[in-house]
Amino acid sequence: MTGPAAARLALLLTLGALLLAPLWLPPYHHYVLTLILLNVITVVGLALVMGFTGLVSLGHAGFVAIGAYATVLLTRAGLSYWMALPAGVLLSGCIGYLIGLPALRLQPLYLATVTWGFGQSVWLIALNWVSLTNGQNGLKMAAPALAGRPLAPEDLYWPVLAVAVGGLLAAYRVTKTRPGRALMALRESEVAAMTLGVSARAYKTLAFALSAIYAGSAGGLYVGVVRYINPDNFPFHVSLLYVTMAVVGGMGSLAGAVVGATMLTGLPELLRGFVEYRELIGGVLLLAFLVFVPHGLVGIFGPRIRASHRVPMPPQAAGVPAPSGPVASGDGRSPGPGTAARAEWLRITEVTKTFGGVVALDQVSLVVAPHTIHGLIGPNGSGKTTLFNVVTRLEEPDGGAITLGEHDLLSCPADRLAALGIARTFQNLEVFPRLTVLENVLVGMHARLPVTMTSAVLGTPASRRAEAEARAEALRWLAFVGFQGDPAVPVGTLPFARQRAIELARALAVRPRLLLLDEPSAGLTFGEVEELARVIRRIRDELGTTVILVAHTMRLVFGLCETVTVLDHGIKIAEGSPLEVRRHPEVIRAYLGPSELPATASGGAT
Amino acid sequence: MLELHDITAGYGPITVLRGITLRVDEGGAVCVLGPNGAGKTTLLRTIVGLLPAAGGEVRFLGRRVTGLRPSEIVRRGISLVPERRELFPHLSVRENLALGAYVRGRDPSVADDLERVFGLFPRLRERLRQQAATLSGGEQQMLAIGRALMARPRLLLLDEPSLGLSPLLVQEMFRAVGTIRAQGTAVLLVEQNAHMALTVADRGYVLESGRVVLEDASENLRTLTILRDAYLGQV
Repeated sequence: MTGPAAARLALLLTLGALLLAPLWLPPYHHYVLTLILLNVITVVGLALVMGFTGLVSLGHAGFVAIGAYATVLLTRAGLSYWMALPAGVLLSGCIGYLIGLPALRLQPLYLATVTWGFGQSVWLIALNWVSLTNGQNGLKMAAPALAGRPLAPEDLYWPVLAVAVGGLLAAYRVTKTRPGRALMALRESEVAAMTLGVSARAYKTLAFALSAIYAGSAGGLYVGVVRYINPDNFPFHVSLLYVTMAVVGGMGSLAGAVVGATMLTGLPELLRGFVEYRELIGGVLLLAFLVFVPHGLVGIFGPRIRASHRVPMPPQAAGVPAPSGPVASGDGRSPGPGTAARAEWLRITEVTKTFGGVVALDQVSLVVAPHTIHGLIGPNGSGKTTLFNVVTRLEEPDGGAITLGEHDLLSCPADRLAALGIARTFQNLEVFPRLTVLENVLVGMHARLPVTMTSAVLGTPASRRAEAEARAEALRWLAFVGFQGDPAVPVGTLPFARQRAIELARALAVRPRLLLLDEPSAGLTFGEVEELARVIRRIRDELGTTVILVAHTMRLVFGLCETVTVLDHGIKIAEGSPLEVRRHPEVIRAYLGPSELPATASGGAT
Repeated sequence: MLELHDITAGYGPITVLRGITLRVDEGGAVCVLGPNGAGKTTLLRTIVGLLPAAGGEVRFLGRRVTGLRPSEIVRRGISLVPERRELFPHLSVRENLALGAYVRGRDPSVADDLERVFGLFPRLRERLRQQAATLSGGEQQMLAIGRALMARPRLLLLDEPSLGLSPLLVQEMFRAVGTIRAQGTAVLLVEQNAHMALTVADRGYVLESGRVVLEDASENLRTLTILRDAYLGQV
């Protein structure tokens, strides 16, 4: 039996056991199982924030408390439990969104502090707003009723199980599709994710709100089971316990969240005799895991399971046709694909950029004709990358104008450029190392893939189709750049030059009409440079993309480019055909050097 | 001085090096060429002990160093300049250089070596107080080499020193490598700029898929047509 089939069987058996649990479990164990499932719900939500965006929340007990108190208060106000529960969940989600809005702009450490303060505040309010919450004495709630018949506590097992399974499925779908990839991409390289159209703030806030919804559901369901709450249910160390569960199980993995919640809820309950040592045990476990098993329990067994999920590459090697044909267009905001062929001039007019006292770009003007390859060369530190950063909106220029066709790029935020058809690669490589090869390329399609957080959670047929088509297209882009390997391995495990190829495929997946390549040939052998030259030429000829090429490989620049611009200390010192530029005395002085060797002088990359 | 016998190494289940035998003579300069993914970087990592060898033996100055900690290997006289430079970005140029001499403790000759590095790369003296992260790509490479030299190695391993440098700087860099060698430090060089590498080195190895497929004196390698097509281009 293959890995995935075995995993599926194990999953089915677990689900079957859970469905039959009330029949064979003693009542107390059944109650513990319910608690485990409740914690699974919260920790899965927390894992969405912690594992997939890299942010730590120390206040999730606050969201659980909001869900619980809102549910109790609304039922006491006369609402049925089944109406009060979703209302409480919604409230928790809204508050999560509001907390996330300002807090997620902060550095992770400050976010942890803010969420800690939030959790404390909720606890203090519950303790001291006596007229609402009855303070320390807590609140009782009537048993939830179904068809007029009050339910026993153990009957609540069914909705708890349904929410846990549903929540896990929804989280799984999110992580395997466009919104989840966007979150992971932000964690790995916010800059690269932004240039591919991922809005950092929107996604982080959304993830935080989603995780508050999970916590709120757990809170609302918890009071359905126990019918009584007081502030002692939600002190700080409960938030900490959730974090511990996520860490022990394995950060960045949903399975880890399940394992962690199960272990840390189940073990102490079953070892009741040690109740006073519970926190001690938790603390020691957390320490031990952080030191010895940083990837958690799932990290020990994970790789073996992952290795069996191989994605076959299409049989073609280099020379495959460029992906084309109808592709689902964006969600109405983007101009859609096919725009690559539109003829638009890039005009950079008198752009200046200074860092402190250093002038990185001094009134640089540049016009790039559509469907051409334009070279940009100059000594290290001459401003080439800064110019790229200004065009892709990662740096704000001090003055000047940049337009592509009729679009004023300086009025566009960085994360809108992908939708306009502008893509780039990075000199120092900004791949998403822990994402697979395929996932990296899929993030390139972010701006035009019609899969939202909602449609991903629901797993709508349209979103599934779009995802499947995107996967097929991503594999074609990988083949286009000549990638021959396993697309299911994390990019970080590949050699430098191969990561470069994947970064190029990811940029092409944007379907750019303007592509900025920052030293794509660094570290390539002669033969590999030839291959790269072929690919770049095909990008211009078959995709109709305009290319700006920064490179120190003169064969590549002089062999490919129609026009070459030379920068030195932020000033344009020469521009013209390769032949003109190579003979320019200033260029020889500042850049090429007098003793240019035959290999670099021959120039014929054809 | 450095001898590799049938070295195999890899990452987890993936074998990268499949039986590499290689040698660098006292004061010699050897280059390793080959396509990306051939295992060149892995080879250097294995020599300095950053990656355990799965099989085979590395000997340095007649003694077996396989299995030793990287710090012990540095102490015995091998320094690596890594591919991505791996400077301490928030420390100054001076602090980076000082850390290069860490294994030597309070050796009074450290100050002399600082002068030697400045002799090679006068630019570093000008930037002494600057944070490493704010240096240009060329200066960072100079600093990376300078830091490695501060350990006073008998053998310097260089992983693509020309990566990302302008043609002018590439020439400067190789001139510096030539000087380092002339001053008595042996050099093992991994490089994509095969032309430059074969000019500096007196012998070369060509790696493909983790195996040595060619080994010869530089002047012989330069005349081989297969090498010309893959690494050198038309001369």
